[in-house]
Amino acid sequence: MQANRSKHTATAPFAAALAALLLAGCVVQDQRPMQRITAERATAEVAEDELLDVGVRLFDPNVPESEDEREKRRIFAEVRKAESRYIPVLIRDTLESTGQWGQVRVLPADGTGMDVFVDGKIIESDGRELRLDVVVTDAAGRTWLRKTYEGQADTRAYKDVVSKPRDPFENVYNTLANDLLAARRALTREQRVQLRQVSDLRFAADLAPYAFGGYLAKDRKGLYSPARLPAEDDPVVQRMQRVRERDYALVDTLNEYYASFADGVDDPYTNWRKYNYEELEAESQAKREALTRQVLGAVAVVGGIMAGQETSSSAGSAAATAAVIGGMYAFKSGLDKRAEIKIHSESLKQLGESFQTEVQPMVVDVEGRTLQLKGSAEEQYAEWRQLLRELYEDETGMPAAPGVAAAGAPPPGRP
Amino acid sequence: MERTSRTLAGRGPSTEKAAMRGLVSLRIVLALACATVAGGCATTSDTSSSMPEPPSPSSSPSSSGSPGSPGGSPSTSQSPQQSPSQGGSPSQGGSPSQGSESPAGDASGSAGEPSPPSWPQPAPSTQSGESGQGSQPGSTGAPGGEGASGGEGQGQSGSTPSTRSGSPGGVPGSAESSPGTQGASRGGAPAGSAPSGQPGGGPATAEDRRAQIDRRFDETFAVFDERMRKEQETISQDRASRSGSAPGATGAGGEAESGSGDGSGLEGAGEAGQAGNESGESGAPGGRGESAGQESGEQGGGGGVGGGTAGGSGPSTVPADIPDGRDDDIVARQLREAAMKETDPELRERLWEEYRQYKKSTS
Repeated sequence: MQANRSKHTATAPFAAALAALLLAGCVVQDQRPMQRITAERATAEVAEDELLDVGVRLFDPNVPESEDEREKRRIFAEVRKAESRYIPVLIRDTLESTGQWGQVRVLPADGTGMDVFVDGKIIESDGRELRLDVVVTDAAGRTWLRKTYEGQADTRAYKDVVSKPRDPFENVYNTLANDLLAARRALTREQRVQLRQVSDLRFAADLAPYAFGGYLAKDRKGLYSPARLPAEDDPVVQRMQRVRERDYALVDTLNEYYASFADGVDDPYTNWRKYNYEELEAESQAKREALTRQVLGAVAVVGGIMAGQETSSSAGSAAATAAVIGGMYAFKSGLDKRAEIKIHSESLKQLGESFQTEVQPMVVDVEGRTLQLKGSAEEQYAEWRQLLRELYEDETGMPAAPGVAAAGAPPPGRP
Repeated sequence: MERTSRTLAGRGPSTEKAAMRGLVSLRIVLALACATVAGGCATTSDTSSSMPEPPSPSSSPSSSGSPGSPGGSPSTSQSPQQSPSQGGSPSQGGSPSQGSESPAGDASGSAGEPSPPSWPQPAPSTQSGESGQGSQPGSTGAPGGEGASGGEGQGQSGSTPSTRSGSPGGVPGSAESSPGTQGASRGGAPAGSAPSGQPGGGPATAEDRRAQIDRRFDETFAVFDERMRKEQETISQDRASRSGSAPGATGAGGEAESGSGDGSGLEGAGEAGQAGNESGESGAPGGRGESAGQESGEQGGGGGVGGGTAGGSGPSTVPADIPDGRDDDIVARQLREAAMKETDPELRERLWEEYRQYKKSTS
């Protein structure tokens, strides 16, 4: 009787461990489908002088320099570069769809000229999980938010191939959009109106610091505010507005580049994420199964040995032997599963390399076109700077003081 | 004595007449001389009235500058010579205008330094003194004309202090560039005309300059706008061709791509099949798959992974007992792809058999 009790006591922990393992497996499977988060849309028209333009800059791809590290974390440099352009386009689409903002544009990493700027860094992106570090600032120098956004893929997005699929990480983008909206609401109306003015003045001060540098004030915290506003009929202001329109056109064109890139990369990227997700899931499943089998096998072997020692009947002895043999077999099958894990791992590598090869020319193309356009635009800007200077000197009869340039504000978005 | 008188007497009437003629001519010469002197005095007094204190440097240039022409002409030749020196060293100027020009003169010094005696130098210095435009490379040429105006001013300042009044007068007119031409023509005239001329030319030139700046703005805007227009046109063409290929492929469905037999076609077929299994709409997804395949022919390797049951006919036809392949690992996928790609029915069946065996062993 006591022997039986001790046997029960000995097997109970193993049974509990087994149950725990099985339950763990079930819990993972029950994670999806997940609840959808929607971005809050505007229900009333936002006052025009409060409509803030948002620039979503290209994200930091965050590619480790070490090749070992890249391999270990399964990071493919070109895939990350593509993502660093693709994700901002999705964020832009999300923000634009809410109707809460003015112009929403994807900007180069050093892009300026907008009221609000969204910067980000990709921490993790593999089709199953997305993790982004996001910082939102404004032209006045305020930091709206600094937050890590993460989410698991909504697998419905991978299944829906009939219509334009919802992005598997739309929840992440919608959450960001809602946070951005909340941050904007935290500003007073005056602050929002001033923000637009500051943005315009910083743009102007960047081009003609001698003329517009004095219009901006910077407090001890480094926040900009309009000290005064230039006269609308000032010829320099009028020309500046025309330059600003060209700047918008440039931003629009660059934005179109990125949008076109995202269009092109959309299908293969979705496929990559989908198959990557499947492989990751299969790998995780194989890992779980391998572990379960090994643990069960070990339990069976140990249990069989113990039972064999304690039993006196031949039937009990036979059962114990069977348990030991079964346990060994289970343990071996667990080891075999490890080989399957390796296959999945190899498969993930192949998928990444394949997509990387495919997307690389697209990244190079969009990068090249962007640089080319920016380069020629820079030349034009240099000429406009000169013309504005001439105009200013002509108007005022005073030389454009070079010292003011130093005091002039950097373009909006640059600290 | 007698001899002398005789001689004189002997010459008698002719000598007397000659003497008389000599006296008359002497008187005429004297009269002319007086008249000339008087005229000269009158001119000088005119000049001196407006320029009370003729500075000494003016004398030497004037004498050397205008050898044969008296009066006002020296100032013309004087001005070009003197103005460079003053532009180069503002301290010489002595006139307020030069003093104020000096900072800008430095700014435009790059233009003036290479050819100190030339015309362009004073002009930028004068102009930049007023508006600081001397730094602009393009405007250096225009101020070259202003050199004449500078010359004019210098001429005045060189001969008389009227430069002070003259050049301040010129300052408001900031656009001394055009007066440059005026100055050149006026240079021949007495220097006194300069003060009134400079301010007169200024405003018109300011408008001209602004118009010129606006023209340049317009030109550069037009170039920029054109570039942007072209870029956006290119982008929309790219996008149109991309979206244009997709609907075309949609029409084709899975069947068309199954005939292509390449990796990209397989991807389409795979997706079509998968979609067909899941949603029962195999046509459109087939097109989707094909469009992706068309866009990037080389993507078949990666993109084609994990294809499902094919919906079309031909080599990519999948036997009924073959699962949809969603849980395929890399080996199974490769077997599936190879089987779908195979056109030889016998070989294809063997590949499918291989696939079945493998799936059994891994399940």
